[in-house]
Formats: sequence, structure tokens, C-alpha cells
Amino acid sequence: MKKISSFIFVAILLIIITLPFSIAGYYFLSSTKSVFAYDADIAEIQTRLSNWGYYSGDINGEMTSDTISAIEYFQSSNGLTVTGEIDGATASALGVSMSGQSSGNLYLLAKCIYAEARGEIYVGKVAVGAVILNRVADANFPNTIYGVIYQPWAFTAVHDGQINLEPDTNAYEAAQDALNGWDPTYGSLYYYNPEVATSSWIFSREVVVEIGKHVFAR
Amino acid sequence: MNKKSSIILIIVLSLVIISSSIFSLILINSNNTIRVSLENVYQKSLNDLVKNIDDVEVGISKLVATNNSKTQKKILDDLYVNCVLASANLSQLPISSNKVISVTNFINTCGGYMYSLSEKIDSGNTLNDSDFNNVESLLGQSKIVLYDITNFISSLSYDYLVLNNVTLSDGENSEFTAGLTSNENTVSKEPSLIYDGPFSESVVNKKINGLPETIISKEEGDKKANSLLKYFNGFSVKYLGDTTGKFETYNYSLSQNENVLFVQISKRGGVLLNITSSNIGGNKNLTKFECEKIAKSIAYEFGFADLYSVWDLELNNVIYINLAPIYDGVIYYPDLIKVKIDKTSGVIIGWEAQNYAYNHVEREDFPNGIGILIGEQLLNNKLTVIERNYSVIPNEFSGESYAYEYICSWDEYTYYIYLDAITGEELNILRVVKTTNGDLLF
Repeated sequence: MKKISSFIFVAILLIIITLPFSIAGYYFLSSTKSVFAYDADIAEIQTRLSNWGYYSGDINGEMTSDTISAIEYFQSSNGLTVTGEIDGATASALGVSMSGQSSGNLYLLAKCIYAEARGEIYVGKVAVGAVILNRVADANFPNTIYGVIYQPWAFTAVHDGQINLEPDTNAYEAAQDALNGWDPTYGSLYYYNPEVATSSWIFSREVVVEIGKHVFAR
Repeated sequence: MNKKSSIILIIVLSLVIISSSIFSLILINSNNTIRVSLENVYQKSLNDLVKNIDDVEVGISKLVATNNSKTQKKILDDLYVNCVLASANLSQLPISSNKVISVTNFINTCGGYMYSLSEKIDSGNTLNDSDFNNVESLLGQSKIVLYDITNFISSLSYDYLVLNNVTLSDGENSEFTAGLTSNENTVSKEPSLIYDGPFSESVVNKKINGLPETIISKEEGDKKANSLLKYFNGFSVKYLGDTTGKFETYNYSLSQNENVLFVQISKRGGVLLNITSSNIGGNKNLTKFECEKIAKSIAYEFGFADLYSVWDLELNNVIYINLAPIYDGVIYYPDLIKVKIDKTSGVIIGWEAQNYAYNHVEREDFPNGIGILIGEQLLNNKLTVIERNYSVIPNEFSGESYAYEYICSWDEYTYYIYLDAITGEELNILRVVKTTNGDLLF
């Protein structure tokens, strides 16, 4: 009996030690899968199919089996070749362009704006978008929107994973304004919140304008 | 607890331990897989970066040695591509951005300069002594960067070359960052390269030609801001501060409850430069035509005459309208003003006049060129011309050109093609791309 009790005690101890890792591992694996799978074009297709009654699943930007079934249903209902894939004819019937460049840039910019400035006033969000685009045009930074946003340690929200939050319509609108040329910072390349920033380097930058909680600088 | 219950409990606990252990092993294995994949990506970027810089150094050394324009052009095109790739590879490494400013600047400026020299040869010109002096200077800098990077890599441990030498939570202070950026101080930003291309001085330090020189006082700025209130019923004005630097402005908010417009008025001449706002919200459903009318009349009230809509983009409940001055039938694209109208309320919620501020000047009359109909014959005969216009268009990097604009179609595609009015050379071709975010020009 004593042996059994000892075994039970050790077993419970082992569970207490290993279970947190297992739970963490479960969430890690499931989040890893979703982080790398989102596609803005697929999300748009899911939205349209849902609006027209072909799709009832989540709008998650993933080419799941439900999404493929919905595409097949749409194709068969509209006289298209049933492939389950978004070919040219299907895209045209859906009214979407699969040109990744513009929708991808808008979506990523909106994600970064939402992650970095969702608590800011609207013009502050546009300003963050403008800083990103100013960096693309500047010789000191990468030459694409993806390159600027994903440059390591360039943006806190990218570094800590907040970039993977789904942006709201306000962030999308701000991203669209920035892409359409709105720049209330007039060429600024940096911004920081003076109440939380600690880097002496950022404080040395020339201040251009203060908008909301952020100071924008060159 | 009886013996049977104890045995059941032991079995259950054993199963839980075994499944927890298996799950933990799976986690460790996945983590290791991701670590290996990440290291592979970093290794690829690091080694590709070395190769790109090496190719740049070799390419420039060959450029200074050849006299043949055809060979020079090929080398210059390769150099441009290698610089673009080097910039992309550098940006993928776990290095804090402000630690590699000089190296990034060198790579981008070098690439931009090579691009401009390639264009120079394309236009029938040859490289001169000044060009070769600049190229030799870039050769010297490329050798410094290459030497430092290869020295640094050889000092790292082989196993997990990057990940074992960087703390992913603190790239600012890692050994990797410190090592790779040791040449930040040795790579010089001088001399400034004078050329017409990306990142050139003419682009970076563009002059503001469209604003009056007289500086208005803050009181005059307040008056201008208050004069906007007649277009925004029930709104009130508040001064927010100034913008300094290239464009100096007085900044205001116009607000009514939760609706807030951010307004910027230039200190030079008191010109309205910017209105930024989100939707105001209403229950109308204005047409594009009605919004264009509003945009034009508002622009006139703000002091901008002879503006016409040249492009529009409808998105959800807003419409973006590009207004350009048209004088004597000539569209002046460099002086573009962008307006954003809320279709549900008819309120102007966006105004962007930087291009106008940079470029709006008195210009000479449109020259007697080759003729717009003669120019049309130079187009690809696949195309059907829908519309033709006289225009002034901005050049790729600096300056502007008098051009014939042809809006053409072929198959399902619509193109905007610009021919130089004097020479008939094709200056630019844009295609209308229909996207889920509206029609765009690429």
C-alpha cells in the first residue's frame, strides 16, 4: 500500500511538471499553423461566398476543405469547370483579382497599423502607415513594404506577434489613405511614444510633428 | 482506497504521464524543426548577402576596366540586381534596423546609382570621368563592407551560426548585431552622388516650388482654419501644434462629437495642405458624379481653380478623387491634389496637396511636337485608342515632360501610355488593374 501511495505521489508530481509544457505545446502548434496560413485573397473569397450562401465556415483566410467545397459548389452552380481551385474564370465570376501585390500590401499595412496604433486617433494611424511607406522610399531601409515591416526589431508589434491580430475597418481605411499618398508626417521615418520609449538613440532624431501619443521624427 | 481503485488510478496516471511525455517530445521536436528552418533561412540570407556584396565588388572592378558601352550596360544591370538582392537579404537578418543604416544606405545608393548609369547608356550617352570617379569610390566602400562581413562570419561558431550568436529577444545588443555592424562607422555616406535615380539628392531633397514664400503668422493660420468651418456645420476648431522640417505647418483639429478632422495649413502662404479623417457617417448615397462636383467646388473655395477629376477610386462608403489642373486642354499631373469624400454625407474628409505644393509653377506653353495623331501611329497596332490628351507628367525620379496621353484597350486590358511630345519616345505605360480594393494603375 505504501508503495502504491509513493507511486501515486511521484506520478502526480510528474504530471504537474510535464502538463504545462504539453498545454503550451498544444497552443504553440495550433497558433503556428494559423500564423503562417492567412491569405487576404482567400479571406475575400470566403467573404463573398459566405454572402452569397455558398460558404458557412469561418473567414480565416485559409484554404480549408470547407472552403474548397464552397468553391466547387459555386463553380457547379455557375456553369464553371468544377476544380475546387480559383482559376481565372472562377476569379472573374467572383469579381476578385488574384493579383497579390496590392491586396497583400494593403492587408499587411493595415495589420501593422492596427498592431502599432489601434489606440490612436485616426490621423495617428495614417501617420504610422505613412512612416512605413516613407521608409520604403528611403535608402536607409529595405525597398518593399514587407521588407520594412518585417525588418527585425523595427516594430515592437511585429517582434511580439501582435502583427498577427486581425485589423479592423478603421486600420484598413488608414492603410488605404497612406497608400493613396496621405502623409501628415511629411516624410518622417521614425515614431515613438515619449512616455514609454527608453532608447537614447530615438530621442536624438529630429522631431517633425506630434500626433496623438506619438512623436514623429526624421 | 481499495486495491482495485489504486490499480485503476495507477493506470490512469500512467497513461496521463505517458501522453504528456509524448506531447512534450512532439513539442520539442517541432521546436527543433522550426529552429533548424529559421537557422536555414538566416544562413541563406547571410551567405547570399556575402555573395551579393562580393558580386558587387567584382562587378564594379570590371566596370572601371571596360570601355565598351554594351559590356558596361550589362555589368551595370547586374550590379543593380545584386544591390537589390543584397538589400533584401540584409533586411532578413536578425539585426536591429538602426544598427545597419550606413550599410543599407550604401547598398541602396550604389544600386540606385548603377541603375541611373544604365539608363544613361540606354539614352545613347557614355560614362564620363565624373561617373568613373564615383564608381571607384563605391568600389572602395564595397571592399570595406565585404572584408568586414567575411571576417565576421569566419569568427562565428559553425553550429547554428546565427541562432547561437543572437538573442532573439534583444537584437539590439546581441553579439551578432555588434559583429555585423562593426563597419557602420567605416562605411562612408560621402561623397554625395549626383545623379537622377532612386535615392538621389534630387529625390531626397526635392524643392518645394508651389508655395508662396511669405510666412503667415499663427493668428493668420487660425483665421484660415476657422474659415473652413463654413464647410463643416457644427464643428469647432482647436489648435494642436506645429509641424517642423521640410513642410512647416500649423495643425488643427475640426471636431464635432466623435467626428474629428486633422487639418494642416502651410506656414508658407497659408495653403491648405492636408485634411485627414475617417468617415463622418450619414444616410445619403451620393454618386461618383455628385462627389466629383463637391470635390471641384470645395477645391475652388479653398483657392484652387481649374481643377478637374482625372481618376477616382470608390471603396466602401468613400470615394478618392484625384484632381489635376487643366489649362488650355493640358492636364498637369505633377500638380495633383487628392480628395476623399464620404459618400454617405457628402463631407470632404480628406485633402492631400503635397504634390501641388512641390510642383505647381507657371509653365511654358505645350510645345509643337510631333503631333498627337502622328504619335498615335507609333503605338503598338494591337491597341485601340479610346481617348487622347495633352499632358505634363512627372518623370520617374525628377523633373517632368510634355507628353501625349493615350488611353488604350487590348483584349480585357486598359492601358495609359505616354509618349514624349517632342521625340515620340515612350515615357511610361500603366495598366489598369481591377482589384478588390478598386481599380488601380500599375
